[in-house]
Amino acid sequence: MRRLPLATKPFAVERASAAEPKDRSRISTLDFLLMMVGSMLAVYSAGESVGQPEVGWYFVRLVGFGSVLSFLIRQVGSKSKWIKIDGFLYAGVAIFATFNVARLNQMLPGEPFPRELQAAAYLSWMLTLGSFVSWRDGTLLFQAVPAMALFGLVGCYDTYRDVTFAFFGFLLCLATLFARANGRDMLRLVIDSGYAGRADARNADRQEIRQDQALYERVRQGPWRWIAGPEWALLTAFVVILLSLLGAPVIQTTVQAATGGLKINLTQPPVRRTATPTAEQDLQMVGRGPNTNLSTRELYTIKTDRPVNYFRLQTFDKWSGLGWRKGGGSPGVRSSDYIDNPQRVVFTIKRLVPVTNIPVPGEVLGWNNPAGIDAQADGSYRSLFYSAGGDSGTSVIAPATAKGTTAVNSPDYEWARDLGKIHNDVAELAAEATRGATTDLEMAEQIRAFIAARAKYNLKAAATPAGDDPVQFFLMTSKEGYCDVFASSMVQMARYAGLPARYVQGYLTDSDSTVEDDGAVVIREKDYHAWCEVLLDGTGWTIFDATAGATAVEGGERGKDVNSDPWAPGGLLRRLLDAAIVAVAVFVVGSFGYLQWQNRTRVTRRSEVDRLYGDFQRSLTKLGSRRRQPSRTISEFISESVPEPLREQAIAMGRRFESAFYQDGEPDVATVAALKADLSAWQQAVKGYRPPAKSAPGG
Amino acid sequence: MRSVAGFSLTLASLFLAVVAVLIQAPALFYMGTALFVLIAGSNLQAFLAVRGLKFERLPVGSVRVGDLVTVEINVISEYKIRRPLVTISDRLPARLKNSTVTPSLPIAPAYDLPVATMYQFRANRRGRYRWTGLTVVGSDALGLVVKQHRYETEPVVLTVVPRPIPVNVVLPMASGWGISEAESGQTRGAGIEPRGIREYTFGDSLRHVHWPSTARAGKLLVKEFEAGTHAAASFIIQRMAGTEIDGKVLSSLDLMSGHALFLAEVFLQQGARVTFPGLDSGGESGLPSERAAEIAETLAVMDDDISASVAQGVLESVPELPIGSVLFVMMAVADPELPGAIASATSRGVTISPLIYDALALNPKFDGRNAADAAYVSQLRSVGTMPILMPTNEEAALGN
Repeated sequence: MRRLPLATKPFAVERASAAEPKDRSRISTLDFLLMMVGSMLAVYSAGESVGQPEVGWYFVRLVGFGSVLSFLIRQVGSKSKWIKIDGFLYAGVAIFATFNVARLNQMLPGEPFPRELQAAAYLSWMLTLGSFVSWRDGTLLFQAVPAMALFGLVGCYDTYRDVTFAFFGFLLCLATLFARANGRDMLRLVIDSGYAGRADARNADRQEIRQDQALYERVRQGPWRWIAGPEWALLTAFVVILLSLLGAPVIQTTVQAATGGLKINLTQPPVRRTATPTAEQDLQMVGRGPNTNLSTRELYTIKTDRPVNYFRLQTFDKWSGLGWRKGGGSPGVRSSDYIDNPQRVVFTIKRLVPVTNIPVPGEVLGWNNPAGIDAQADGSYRSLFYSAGGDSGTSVIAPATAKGTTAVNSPDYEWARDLGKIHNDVAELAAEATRGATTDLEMAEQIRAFIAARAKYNLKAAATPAGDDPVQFFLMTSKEGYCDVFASSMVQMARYAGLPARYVQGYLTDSDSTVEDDGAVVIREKDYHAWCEVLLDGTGWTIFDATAGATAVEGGERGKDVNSDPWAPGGLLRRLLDAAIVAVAVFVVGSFGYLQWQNRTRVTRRSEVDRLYGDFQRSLTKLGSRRRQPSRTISEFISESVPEPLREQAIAMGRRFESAFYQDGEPDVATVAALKADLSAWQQAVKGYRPPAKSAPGG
Repeated sequence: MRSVAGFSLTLASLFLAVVAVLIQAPALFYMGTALFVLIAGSNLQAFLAVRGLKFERLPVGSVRVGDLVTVEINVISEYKIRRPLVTISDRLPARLKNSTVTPSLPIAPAYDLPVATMYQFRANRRGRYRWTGLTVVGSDALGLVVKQHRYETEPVVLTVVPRPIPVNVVLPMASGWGISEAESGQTRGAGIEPRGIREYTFGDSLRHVHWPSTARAGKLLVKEFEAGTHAAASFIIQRMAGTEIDGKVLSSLDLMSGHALFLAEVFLQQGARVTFPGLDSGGESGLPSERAAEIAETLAVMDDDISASVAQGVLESVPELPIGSVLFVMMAVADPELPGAIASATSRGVTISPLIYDALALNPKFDGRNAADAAYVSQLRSVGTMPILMPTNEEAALGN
């Protein structure tokens, strides 16, 4: 090969004369900052996902404090040996968090952490406490593990949509951090390779060489001139995020089509349904595929002094394009003022499960015992307290037969006409449905009938493809769905027609509902329902249920207990099947991991000797020796660093290792066994060694 | 740590993907895709990092046992791409592999100019080593994925010559005056300084002609050295197959070659002619340093791979040796025919001196016929030789 001019040549290290040489081989402020931001994003997401942002902020503050403290500890003790205990401390805090998560949770602001979400709590505490003891590369990078797990958990809960962006932010931090750590490892290799000058590496303080800024500059201008370093890692991370944003929806659609609607329903965190309304304020998705949460589980009993079927749980007013948000509604405005002949309803509601939301008939005028019952901005109620006799009060409803003909035209209810992101197709259908109507009531009725005639009711309807408008997909493509898309369509079309409308979630009882001896109706999970309410002059918020009169697909009818069909989603056999699929998936992934790990850690006798030699070297450092430089032979190292009483034994051990290293092929089993025995004896000798006491001055 | 992290991330991405499919959570699709793309990108980057490279090895030459060897390799990229850092794992012969090999200098191969990487190791075993090919180890910019790729390269040859092992033994008086002078101390340490000028005679090397004097005198004049050119020392080293005794660190052949080299250098400094019958042609190099280097090279590749015993070596070499020379026979395993061979050779005016190595001291498990056995030594004495027991202390041999 033709000899080419050299770009670089080894050079002797020039001692840095600067007063404060920058240590390129050690973690810096930026590294702490990156991991702090990454951890903060993870814990904040966890707080948001359980519906308690204040908990997220609490963790964020703790992580920030812990990271700053770790940074300061690192600055103070960077050259101390005790800084190396951070790994043990990290393991300690992880164990502590495992066994004390319940106690730790008592320190959190707001409500107690739901039991179903203890995994998120544990990981959040591990991440938070870990930030206090992350002092070196290893622990700092290990923070990525609980953070990653936490993001996965938040993704499973699927209650905090912005977690994706938080994760992308975390990914950027992680990529930069790993690239910087890789650079530091490489810089250590530069020193170990002898590039910095063999003589210096042998005789000078290794630390001094590491801190030499000149070394870093020289490698950057020489052998690292064409490096794809941290900046490339950051660029890669951006590309990854871009590809994910573009590719994930496509993959999701493809997978859903390929799996034919296969979906395992995890037990949702209680935050999503009833326990913590703050989470529901985020987003109530619609058109999310088969609804399998409708069991016969008893939730409430409601006793009323006159027949009522619809019980409001909560209302939504803003359409986001994917679902409904609570935009605040119009607090303080009493819609009951628009009811011409209000009928009083005296009710008593007993909660049979630990939930805080209280479904109510009509608009509540007052509670018999209002202490502890909070009125929400959307007109719903919640209470953290339980009374044996239930919560009772009085509300008003319009007469069942009365229907106002004109919509309320008040600036207080302009929000109920907000079209938001209505799809053009839906608007055209609304225009078509209201053609010929002469009154607002006729328009609403025509829209309701139009939807009921156009679409079929099906609890097993497929989910809306990612990126599609659920209402448009329901009305134009699938033409199948259940109450959420029926109600959403109704609200949107009514608003397009100029009617003030809102989306309501609650419970609908029917003739099949169980009535107890005292006349109380049992509300079950399968009674969960959504409908549209239009504000009409004379009847107030008037219910328009578009599912009424709609044809139901066989097997997908409303009110069917999912538990009655063992193969239905949520049924016993289906749950077993789901569990089996999960088990197989875990087994496959676990096996893959196990095999990979086996390949990585396959123990050969040669590697066993290497490992034993590592133990031997560590035992030498316990005698006060510095780490052996690669340039020195074992014998050289021992003769210089091991104290006299142990030197002979150490030299003998060193020879045995050299023999094992130098021999051709694998050392035999007997050799390895003998080495182990000798090493054990040597370690005992080191343990029992006591350095001679220094003589007193003048003594 | 980071490769473990990369492994964990791969598992995490797989798990997230599976869970995302099972529960159809949109956020998990995004996260799973991001992790998948990240791992795939890392794999691609690590794959590209180790591909499309060319190498140019710089000659290593020869070193002494225990010396630090620096291996330099120029690397050039065939593609105009930026790469993460790569390291080189050379295919060192097994006998050279030891714990003293340093990692190679991480480099980013460039397209326009070769970038040199290097690593170092201590050559602890004598011999001539030839190896070819190397493995490039590279990772992505994050260090999450590690990839390797093997390349064939031009061969590199490294000769590890023995390090002279100083030995303090009483050497026999020789008939040649060079050695005698050495023994008397008159010329000890004189080196190659010429004693004077004399007229050229047939057989003198042209290398020794003193040209200024020749020009002045108009006739060929040569330099005469302090030690006479007639003195000669020869070494026969026992290297019959199976006679090498492995010590804890050094073998009997290693010790013999170290001692032989030391003694040869001493004799050469004193002007004696040093030969290794059966190993080299006798040495025509004029300068002692050149001849010493020649001997070192010869001893480096010596192995116990011949069928002839030391007795046969003595019988074959003695007729070729000049009268008055000293023949050192270095051996660890007793050769029963050697006393007879010595008896027949001494009549030819060659002083034979057996240098004995205690095989049992080298290796307590040795179960053959030890040359240091008292009975055998007596046999050697009985034929008029003065056997010298050589030190087998390896610690001393290594200078520790």
